[in-house]
Amino acid sequence: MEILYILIPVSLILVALAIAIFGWAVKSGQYDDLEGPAHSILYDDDADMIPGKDNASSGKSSGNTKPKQE
Amino acid sequence: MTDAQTAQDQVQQTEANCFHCGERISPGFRAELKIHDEHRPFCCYGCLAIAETIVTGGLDNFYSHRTELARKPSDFDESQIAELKLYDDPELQQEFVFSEEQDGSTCQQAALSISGITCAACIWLLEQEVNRLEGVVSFSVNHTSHKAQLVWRQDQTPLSAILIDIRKLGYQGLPYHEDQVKAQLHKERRSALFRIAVAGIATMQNMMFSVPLYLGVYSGIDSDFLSLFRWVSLLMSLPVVGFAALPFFRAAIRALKIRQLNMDVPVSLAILGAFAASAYITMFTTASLESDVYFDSVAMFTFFLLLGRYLEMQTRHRHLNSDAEMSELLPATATRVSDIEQQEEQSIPAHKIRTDDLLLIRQGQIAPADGVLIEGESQFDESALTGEYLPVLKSVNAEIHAGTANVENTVIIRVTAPPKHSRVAAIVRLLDNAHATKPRTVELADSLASYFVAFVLCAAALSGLYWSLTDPNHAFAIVLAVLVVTCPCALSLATPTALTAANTALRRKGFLITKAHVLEALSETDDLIFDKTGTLTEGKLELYETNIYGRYNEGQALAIAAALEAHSSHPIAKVFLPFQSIKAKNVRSELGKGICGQVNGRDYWLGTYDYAVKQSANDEANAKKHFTPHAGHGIYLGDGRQILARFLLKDKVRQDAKEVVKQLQKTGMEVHILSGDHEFSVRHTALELGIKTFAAGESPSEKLDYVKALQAAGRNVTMVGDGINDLPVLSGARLSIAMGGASDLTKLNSDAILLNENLSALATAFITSRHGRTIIKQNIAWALLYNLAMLPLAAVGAVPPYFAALGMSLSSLIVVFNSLRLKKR
Repeated sequence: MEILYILIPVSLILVALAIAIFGWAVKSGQYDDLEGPAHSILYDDDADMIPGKDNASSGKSSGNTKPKQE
Repeated sequence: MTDAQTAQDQVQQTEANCFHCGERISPGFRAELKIHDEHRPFCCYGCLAIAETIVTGGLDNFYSHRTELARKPSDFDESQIAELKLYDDPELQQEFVFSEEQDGSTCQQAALSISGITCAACIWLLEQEVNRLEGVVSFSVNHTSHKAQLVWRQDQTPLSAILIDIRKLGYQGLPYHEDQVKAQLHKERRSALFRIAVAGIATMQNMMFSVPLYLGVYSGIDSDFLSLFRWVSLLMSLPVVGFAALPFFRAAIRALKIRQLNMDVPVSLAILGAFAASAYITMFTTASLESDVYFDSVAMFTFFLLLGRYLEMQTRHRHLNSDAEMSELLPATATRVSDIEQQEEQSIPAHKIRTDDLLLIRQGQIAPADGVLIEGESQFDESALTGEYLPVLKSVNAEIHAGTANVENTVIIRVTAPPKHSRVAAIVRLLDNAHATKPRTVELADSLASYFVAFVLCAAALSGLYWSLTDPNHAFAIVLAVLVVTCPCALSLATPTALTAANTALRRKGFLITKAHVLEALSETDDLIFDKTGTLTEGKLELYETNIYGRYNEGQALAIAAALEAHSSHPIAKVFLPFQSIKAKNVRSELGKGICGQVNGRDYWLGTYDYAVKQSANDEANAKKHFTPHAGHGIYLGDGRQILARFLLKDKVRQDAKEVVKQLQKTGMEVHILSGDHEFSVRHTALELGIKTFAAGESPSEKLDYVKALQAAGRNVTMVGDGINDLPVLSGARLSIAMGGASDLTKLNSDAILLNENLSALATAFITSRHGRTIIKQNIAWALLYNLAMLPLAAVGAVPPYFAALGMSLSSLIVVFNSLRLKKR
């Protein structure tokens, strides 16, 4: 159990490091937009990348990309 | 088309709402577009144009992504394009455009603030569209602040082309100006987030070291390790007490300085007390299981409270698209002329306007500064300031206010006050004063907390005194036990949790609370005051009746009127926009009277009664008998011999207004109308809705006096408004509610916002507020009961440490679950 005398200080250093990194991330503006990424992942922008669809010919400005219904 | 089909179409039309903005489509208007293989109706050509832009751009997925309806676009014509083109002026760009090197070529960078964004899909649409433009390197919009970062190549695309493109989608992009308030909010958000992270990480670490301590109670633990775990916990709690919890300490000190006890005082006391007690035990007693440490509770308590306050702050900031404020009211540019004769024009940024400058204001432009009209004659739309939706006639020597729009002819004004000192700015200053005199709402928990804190301090002191006389060895430990056991966790959670639950419930119904005292103030309201235009009514003119007196049928008369009005930019002209089918020639407008011109080779006069029958051979008295008196505005169409048609225009009362007013009156509150409009139309609306008390023709400061007089008489006043002119009175009332369509400045300064302009949400809010208040009272009663029951036990030294910790958590949990009941409603 004496290993704890080393492991605990090590964990404290790691915690300090984590807080420092988080502080840097906040300061550099990475947390300014907390909503955007949550939404952007849900948009189906990949219609023209899916092979075998009829819209493959006209590319991204086709205008007839099938929306996901419900 | 058969009659049956026509009828069916009409039913569909009258019941249909605009696919883009959700507004009711006025009967007879028809505009459709095929989206996702279905024909969708639109309420105006503006919405249709935007939908066309979106669909032809292949971005029709916007309509399946979106979760909120889009905002109805304002007019977009040549004059606005010309205004946006001014942003290409290098002198103007100096202020917000920066050049940088990228991939070996020069790029320009600018921050824009975008208004009109209603949900995340809007941002998706904007980013897709703008990033596709030639010359745009990158364009991204922040979901919270609606601030956009644009990097583009000026040599390929001028800035105005990008701004026009944004405008075509129905949004407005303007240069972003960082001011002190915005910078402050920004800093506040970032530091709050960092404090939460520190408290959160410390809580997790503390938990890790506390579990062995808890287990140690049952299975035994080496005293060396016991001491080690305690010291490490102490170390981990230091950043929590010394940094994360600082906002509570500061607020507590501020309250004590003005001799008040608020909720932050017991919170600070609990944090410091528990920490001091645990630190004392760790440092000065030999490690044993008889005494307990509370480091984990300190960290967790701080973490949860910080989280609660952060969420509260987020809701408050969410609906302030802080961009707008002044820049939305006043144009960023002005056209300066050297003198009346030469009219040597020069575009200048608005902040360079000096007193005595001569400014040219064209049709459709907004006056950038207060001034006196020295050349020309025109009508000005002052609705932004006064809420009056009909323009006011201005001739030479008339005062022109900044923020009002010129609707007819080009005029020249001499500046009397630069934008900073203009009337809009004056209203904002009046607002600051009103804020200062706003009756302070002492929250229930806060007022209780003062007594509670005083009581706990006395009890701790008394028990300390007693024990130091009888058993000095245990005195200190017992005083600390009293402080820890009475830790007001549950008490301090009582209000915020109930508020959060009520917020969520009301938000779903379209009522957004932005300040803490709203729930309480709502439930205590005696007097509910509406500003008429835009709250009880829809705030825009609508054709509601057409009377025919001549040889034309309704459709023909409307077509003639629409043809004439197509040449006018008067707000009344917009009413006829949907009926345009034929063209008019030789159109002349006569200021303040009407408009005349040729349609299909015949002359027609459209305007006031006198104007339309000026050429008439009919006996005037005889003709007047035909026309029953009416509320609203009558527009007459004459053909040179007689009146052909009368169009009645009215600011329509909202559909649900009558029902809501009745419901509210039933709950025993007095409903008032306080309006800047003419007495006649106010009286009519009041009568229609069954409202007995009303005041008409009131200026912003008179409105404020009205509310102040009521409040001086001891009434609790709630004000519902939407215009800039309502700002002072909104801030003066104990509780202010802004309509969702109000200007950002108004929303920023009100306590609650009625989203979706749905009045019935207001009635719901009053009911929920009463329920929420009951829940808060229950919470507080429970918290106090628990703490008071434990206090004597702790004072006699009979509470074992693990029981104190368990009880504290349990009583907090009960409070949280009780609050959650609000959400279910």
